[in-house]
Amino acid sequence: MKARAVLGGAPHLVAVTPAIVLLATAGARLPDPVATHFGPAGHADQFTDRWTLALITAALGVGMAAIFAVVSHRSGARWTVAASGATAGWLGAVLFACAAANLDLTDASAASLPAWTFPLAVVAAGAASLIGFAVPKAAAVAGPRSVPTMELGATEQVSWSRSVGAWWLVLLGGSLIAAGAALGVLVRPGVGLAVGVAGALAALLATGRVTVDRRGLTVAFGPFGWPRIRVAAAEIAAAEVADVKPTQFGGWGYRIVPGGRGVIFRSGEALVVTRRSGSQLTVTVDDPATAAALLGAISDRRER
Amino acid sequence: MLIRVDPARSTPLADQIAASVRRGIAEGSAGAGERLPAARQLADSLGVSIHTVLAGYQQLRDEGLIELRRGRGAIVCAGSPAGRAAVVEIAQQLVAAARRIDLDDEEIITMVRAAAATR
Repeated sequence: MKARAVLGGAPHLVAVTPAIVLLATAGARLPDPVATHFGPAGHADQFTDRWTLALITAALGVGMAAIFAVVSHRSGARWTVAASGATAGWLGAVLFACAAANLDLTDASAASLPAWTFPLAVVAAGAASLIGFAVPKAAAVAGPRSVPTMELGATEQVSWSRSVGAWWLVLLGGSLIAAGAALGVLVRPGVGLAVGVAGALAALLATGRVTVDRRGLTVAFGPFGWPRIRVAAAEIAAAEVADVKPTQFGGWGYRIVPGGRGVIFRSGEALVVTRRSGSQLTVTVDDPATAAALLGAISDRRER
Repeated sequence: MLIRVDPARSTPLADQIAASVRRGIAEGSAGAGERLPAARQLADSLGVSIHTVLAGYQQLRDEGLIELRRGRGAIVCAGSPAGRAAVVEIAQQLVAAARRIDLDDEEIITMVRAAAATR
């Protein structure tokens, strides 16, 4: 797992290095102040001195490296490492291009982003994402265990629910929103917006409530209970308990894997609901045995 | 948190909801700071009126087991909610036992005071 933290964090440290080295060593060839932000047409519209820009670039690299090191370590999924490589490649290319656009100018307001900026960014992102293949593959899922059904009275109504979530995913979402705001101001509004939206999605899907009742299984995400996944009681073929690891689902949060979906916030006990179609929904939640016992009883009642 | 209600029983539904939540807190399945399901969601889940759920939650608030905050829902109180829930259950059993032999409220309170004075 330590290897994944390093693999996840390192690309960002590497990616910001060219821009920092350029800013630090090419003082004689750079105007003061330098252009730091470029409008939609690629022309400079914001300026700062080069040491401030170098410091912000370094802070961005260290911050992103820390976030992705934690995420890659906690998740263990190769896609988190690949995503780290891709964002690092993209950011590194754009930051380098921003610094390079100032070279050999006496007035930074004449700076415009070189035409190679975005092709280079795409290539760098694609190439750097290949680092994901350095991560070992996920292990196989262990078989779920069935549990005895709960005793229900003929007219009894039962509702079981638990809150689920991962604080560090909320933190990650918040950090990405902050990084998005910073990038939007410093680099390009579009880049900032993309990072910000990813952060908002991560934060929204970082907590939820799992409910089992006469209607079936419901997983409602976020503070608003939306979005929501529901498996209707009539669709449920089996409700069981299993021990799972995030590596089996390629990471944390809402996962789509061959054979089903997962809502994975931690390793350990999980509720595994199999639909009549054979696809499974796995949710990591405390006390899944009670949830499975109740779903079993609800299915029995429907069949009577 | 497992909440069971049975309309066929003579106990009011709100009392049944409160008893279920209290049991969950006493057994530790809902610890301090745990958020209870929103009243609207629990009402839909059980197929009862939202007023019934709110009446149940208000009982729990009066017993000092949960906090009700507008917009934030119902949250299990800090401190030792499990112990407190157990004491509330014992208090209910005490009252039930006293009612069976027709003791009035004053007599029950006098008895509790006398018991507290000896400890």
